Amino acid sequence: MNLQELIMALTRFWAKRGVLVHQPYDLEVGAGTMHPETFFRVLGPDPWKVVYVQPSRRPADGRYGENPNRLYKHHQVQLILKPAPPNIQELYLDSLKVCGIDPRLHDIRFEEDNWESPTLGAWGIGWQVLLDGLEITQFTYFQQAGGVELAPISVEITYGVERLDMYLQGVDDVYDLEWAPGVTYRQVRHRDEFEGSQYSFELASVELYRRLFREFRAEGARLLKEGLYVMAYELCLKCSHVFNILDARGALSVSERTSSILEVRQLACRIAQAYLEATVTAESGEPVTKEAS
Amino acid sequence: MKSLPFVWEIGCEELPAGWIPGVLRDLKSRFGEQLDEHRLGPAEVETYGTLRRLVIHVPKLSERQPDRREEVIGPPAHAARTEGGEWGPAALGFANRNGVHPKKLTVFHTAKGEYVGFVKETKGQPAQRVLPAVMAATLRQLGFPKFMNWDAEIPDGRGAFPFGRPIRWMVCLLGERVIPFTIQVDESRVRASNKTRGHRFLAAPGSRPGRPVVVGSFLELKRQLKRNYVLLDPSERLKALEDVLARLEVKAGARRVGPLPGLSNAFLANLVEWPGGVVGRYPEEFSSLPEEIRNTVLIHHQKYIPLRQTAAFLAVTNMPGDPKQYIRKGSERVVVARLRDAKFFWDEDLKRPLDSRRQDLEGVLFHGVLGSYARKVDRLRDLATELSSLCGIAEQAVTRAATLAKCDLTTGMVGEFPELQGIVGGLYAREQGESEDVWKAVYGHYRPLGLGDEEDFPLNAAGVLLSLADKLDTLAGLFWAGEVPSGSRDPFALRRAAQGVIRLLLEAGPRLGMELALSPEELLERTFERVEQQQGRRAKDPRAKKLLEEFFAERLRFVFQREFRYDEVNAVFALGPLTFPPEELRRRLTALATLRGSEDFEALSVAFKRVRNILSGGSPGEVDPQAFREEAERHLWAAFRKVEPKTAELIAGGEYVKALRELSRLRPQVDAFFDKVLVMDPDVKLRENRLALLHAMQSAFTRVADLSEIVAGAEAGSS
Repeated sequence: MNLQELIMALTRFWAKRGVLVHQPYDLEVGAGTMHPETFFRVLGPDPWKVVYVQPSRRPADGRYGENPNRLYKHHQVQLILKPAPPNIQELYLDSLKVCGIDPRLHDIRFEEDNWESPTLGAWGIGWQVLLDGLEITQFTYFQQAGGVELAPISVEITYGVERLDMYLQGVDDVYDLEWAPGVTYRQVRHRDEFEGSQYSFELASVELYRRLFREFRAEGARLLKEGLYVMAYELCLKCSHVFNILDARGALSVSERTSSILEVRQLACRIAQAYLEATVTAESGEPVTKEAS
Repeated sequence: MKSLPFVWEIGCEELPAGWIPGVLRDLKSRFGEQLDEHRLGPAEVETYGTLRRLVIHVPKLSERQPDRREEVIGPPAHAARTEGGEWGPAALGFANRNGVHPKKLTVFHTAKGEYVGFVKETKGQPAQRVLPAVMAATLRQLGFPKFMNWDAEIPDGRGAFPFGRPIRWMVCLLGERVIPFTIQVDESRVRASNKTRGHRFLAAPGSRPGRPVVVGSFLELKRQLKRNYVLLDPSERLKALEDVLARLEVKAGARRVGPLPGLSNAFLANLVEWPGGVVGRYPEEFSSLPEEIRNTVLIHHQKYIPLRQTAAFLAVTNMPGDPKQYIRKGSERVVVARLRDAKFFWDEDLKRPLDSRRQDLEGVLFHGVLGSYARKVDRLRDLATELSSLCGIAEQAVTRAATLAKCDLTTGMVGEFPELQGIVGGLYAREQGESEDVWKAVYGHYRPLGLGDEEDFPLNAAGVLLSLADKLDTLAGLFWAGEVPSGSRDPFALRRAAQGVIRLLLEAGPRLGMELALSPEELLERTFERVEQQQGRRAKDPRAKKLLEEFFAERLRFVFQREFRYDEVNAVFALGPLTFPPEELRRRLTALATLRGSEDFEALSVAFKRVRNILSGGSPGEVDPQAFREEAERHLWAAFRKVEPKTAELIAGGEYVKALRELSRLRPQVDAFFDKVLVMDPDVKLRENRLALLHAMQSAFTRVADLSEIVAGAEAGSS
């Protein structure tokens, strides 16, 4: 199965089960979790089901396009089901079957792995799913987001698409993956892997990013005062990405890391509160925004 | 009383393997307790389980509660009757409140007298009606290292029900009968039934995985599970795993490396329901990588077992076989990918001399105020050198090792495997021809990392000094910079650093024959001064050093209280926890713990509490033997004069047990003194003289430890 087929197969599998198919968020994010479709939807009592692909940027993971397993930007298929269906593990295993994985011929295991995003004030309990020793999915029951205890609980399933496909294609180097018939990952992505790595490790202007961090944060706080929690969250995401760049640049000491994370987290938690205060559940389960006061 | 077999299987999503032994033990106690609480006990309770199911088996559970006969006591009899002998208002009120007809009242003859009361007879309930409450209470009480919310509720009126992992099915049988028990989860329900589930992916011939399997008893449950590829009994599963591993060793032609801390067979057996395994191999080119690095990849990341002297490993699986070799190939791929990364870094990193990285440390921030790691290394080198000359040890090696100690922080290897910091530095130093003393010092200088592990200690004397200097510098530096840890936040792991220093000071002698007669007070002083010197100013907070000392004393207390009782620690700490080397504190604590339980000693510590209270605030005077009036005070003084010099000599020689024994001999005289003598006599001269006597005794008695801190009646050994 080439990369685009894999992504479509997974998306279609969940679409057939009544899940909304959304699109990647159009800002730099480090994981599918950061998409507003996860951050906001897991909050509050209203049910939701969504799946989307999310290109995820992790500057510190960049390897200049030379490491066969590590990427500056990889792709996730992110699924949120709220509430979690009682047979969610079985559904997940069925989704692997449509990718051509016969569980009787492999060793598939759910190995304890809890997940935490300090910048979003979020954490969850769950597993990494191992396929013959390779981690292919993060499977988490969200417990908290934006500093808020969640009810009902959402289950988050994040497939690591490149990894999974390398396994399925029997390829040892991510750049050799077939993205589409006759087209390799290298052809599609090598240049931006190289430039992304070089930028984050060597060339990003520390001064600029420090300033951006401060200013994005202030702007986020300002928007929140105006009641624009969706836009405030975008600024929060920008802060988070700027932080990642500064971190990759080695520009942050341990205490600066801690305090920056805290600042983003505080903003995220206030955004979560604002969202909860503003939304009211309608019969249809769709959040209805109260008039901004 | 008739009994029936009982079985309860709690089927859940995969629990962390490491939890299982503890959870099964807890489950057994809790269920037993609840049976007793609900008057169905006592009963033998057995527990079994895998990472997906917890099973309780009670071979003989009472069919019903015993009938209960209680005597309910009310008002005293004499107040309860009227003059005519009828029941009076007190008795009638009592009967009314208890919903009982007055004709049921009778008089009980108790030890306290005669009371009105009645006999309450409750018929025992059948077990099936009581068990749901037992089960609900057990589930509520069951402990996990971490709980999760999963939108579940038990209908026991106590609302939300967090658990270790979501429960997805339950089997619950008393004899042949299903016990009704339901857990509500969002809109769905988990109802107890007679249907279990086997292995996730495998099933008995004729069945399909995921199809429920009907069972009628515990034995049938065990048998059917085995047919469906689940070994329920942990000891059976462990044995099966060991057989698999032995068989694979033969196949591979090599033995396992072991024992492996953190990866015991018991742990591995809990990772699966049906132990299987494969042999994986990796290319020879990676054998040249040091074992530490290969083991980090194999053991810590993948939970695989390395094989001796072969480029191969054993991987435990949850499948009986590997028909298409997918499992073996998959595990090899993962291992090779990581080893390839490691080899790449190894080769790249070694292209540069390790010490050439020292200037790169200018660009690695240690702390915003304290500056870069390069500056830390400057302090580290000077402090380590100073410590080594104070102790007369290995100066040259220590200085060189300090220069190299942090260089590995800029290597690709440590970037990839941060847990190998120090170790990688040591390995690179060795590879590049540094002396054994030097590379071993770098290798082990982060240790000890904790308090529990025997192996977790620097490899040599130079390593001990380097480790001490590094941890002390971190402590002093960060406190100087105002980074004081709180109850809930310690982002710089200062507790661990302080505990490391304490462990080093306690164990460097016994393990490596080092003589580190350094007091924490002195060590902290020197280190703090060095930070101030380098930074060119005092700490912003004038209390910084004091806070550091208090913090360190608190850690000393923590470490010692793992071994000694809190009052023993209080007694020795009263003399000043930081002014003695920890080894010295330990000797005194040991002496106290040894004498603990000896009657004389305990009696004396009681006496000395009294002495302390009497003397509080007063100032000592001179004892005038002529001024004694009573026999008892004369005898005490005489005995004290005899015992005191002997004690002083013993203390000077560090013979604390003997010194305390010697002091204990004063017990009869001390007791007699307090019995017969009034210290606070109205006569000033007598009073002052007696106070002077007590002062003299107190100062002798508090030379080993402040014995008035000892709490009498407690048992020997740690709490």
